[in-house]
Amino acid sequence: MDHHYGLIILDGNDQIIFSSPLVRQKLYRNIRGLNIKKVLDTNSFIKLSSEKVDLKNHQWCYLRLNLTDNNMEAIPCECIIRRFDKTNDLRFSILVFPVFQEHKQNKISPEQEMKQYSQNIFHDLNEYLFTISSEISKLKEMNRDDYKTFQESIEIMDKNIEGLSFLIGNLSTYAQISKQLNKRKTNLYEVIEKACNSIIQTTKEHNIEKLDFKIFENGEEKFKCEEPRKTLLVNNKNRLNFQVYCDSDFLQRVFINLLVNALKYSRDQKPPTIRIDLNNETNGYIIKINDNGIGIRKVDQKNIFQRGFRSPIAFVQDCNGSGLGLAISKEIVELHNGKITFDSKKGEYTEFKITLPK
Amino acid sequence: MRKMKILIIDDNTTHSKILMEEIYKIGSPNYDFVIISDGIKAFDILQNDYSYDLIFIDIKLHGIDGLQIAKYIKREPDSKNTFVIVFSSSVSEEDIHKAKEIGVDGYISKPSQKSEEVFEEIRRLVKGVKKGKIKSQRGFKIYG
Repeated sequence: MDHHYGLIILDGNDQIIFSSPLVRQKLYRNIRGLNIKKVLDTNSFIKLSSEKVDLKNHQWCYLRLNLTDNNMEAIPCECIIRRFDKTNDLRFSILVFPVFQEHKQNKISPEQEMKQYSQNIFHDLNEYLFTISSEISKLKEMNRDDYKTFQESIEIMDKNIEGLSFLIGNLSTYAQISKQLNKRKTNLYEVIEKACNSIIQTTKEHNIEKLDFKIFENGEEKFKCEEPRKTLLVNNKNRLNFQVYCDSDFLQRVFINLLVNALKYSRDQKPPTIRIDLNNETNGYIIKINDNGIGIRKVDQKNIFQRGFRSPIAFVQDCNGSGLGLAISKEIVELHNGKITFDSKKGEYTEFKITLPK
Repeated sequence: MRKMKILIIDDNTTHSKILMEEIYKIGSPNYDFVIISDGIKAFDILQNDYSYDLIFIDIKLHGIDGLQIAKYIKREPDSKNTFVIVFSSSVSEEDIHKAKEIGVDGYISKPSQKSEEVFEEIRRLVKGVKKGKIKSQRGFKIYG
């Protein structure tokens, strides 16, 4: 995605106090001092979509509009309108993102694409490493008796190492994905158990204090976890029912990616509720992973499995991410002759459904 | 002696603190730091306060591209003489090129291992800006 955002900042009375050069350029004029609603209503260059803007009750919301460029071609854009407080004075800002478009043929070569990914990944790796190495040198220099600083440093490093290992996990899967799968008869529970345990450990990275996590088998509750960082141990007798012919390392990565997303895109005010449903059906195993997170917007739904796609929402919610997770997951499921689909409602839930042959 | 005002805009506050601690190592107490992790709040602050002597800014910020903020600072008559340094993990040529076009004064890549040399260079830069030896708009320099 191209990172040219327009920006409009409004004061508490919806008057524009700032518009960025990109917006001014698109509108051919300075709109400072004008009322935003008037600008949006009267300006033929901007066409609002039907999505309503409810500024009063939300920290941020979205609208879609068309900006016209110099050649009078309409560029579909998405805006994030974000509210922030400043000494009780409400202000809003609008960020404009060009809508993510599928890579057009001839437009971007695989080499360029690869370069972009590696730059993204380099950025994230560097951020983690810089933090960790700085904390280490701080520890080396510090007063040995300062327990509080010591504890803080360890925690920062811990968080960053978790982020780092997640990224490296995805990268290593990505690097090997074309390689032949090492398929073996495996119990699906084992795979899910490993994935869940590694996720429950990372709740710290996402600052999650409370969690509502359940596993159901054919509609019957088999496991429950409310305390983050508790280890999941599935009863042995359950293990017999779900034999899959798979590469367990790869499949585990799929569940890790889906669960990490469920945690990452949870809603701030609610503890994450994650429900895994395992169903043994005649035509295969069906695994559903359901969360009560922020959901996936309709406009993003067709893009989420594309490599490198990141929704503008991800920008607001969380900055890091390579845009590889779901693309990899889909590839892996398909290599197992399975299918992955999802259903989601913005602001309510997301449910991924994986079907694996027996 | 007037304190030097330094603004650090980085969504990773750990990084801002590291930078601040490293600059404090100069030893003189004459530095005032403002650390902001939210790019949009940075916009708000910059609308009302032009008194910064030096601004460090990251590119990848929550919700906004730091280069947009840098561009704004360098365009507004009241703030265009402020010394602006991009401090980022990005090594993309495109970003460096954009930073140069915008007219920022320098670019520092965040080292992946904390490197004394890079911070020594930053301290030299801060001292230079403070004494007025290094002025803004003398050209673009890649540090570190």
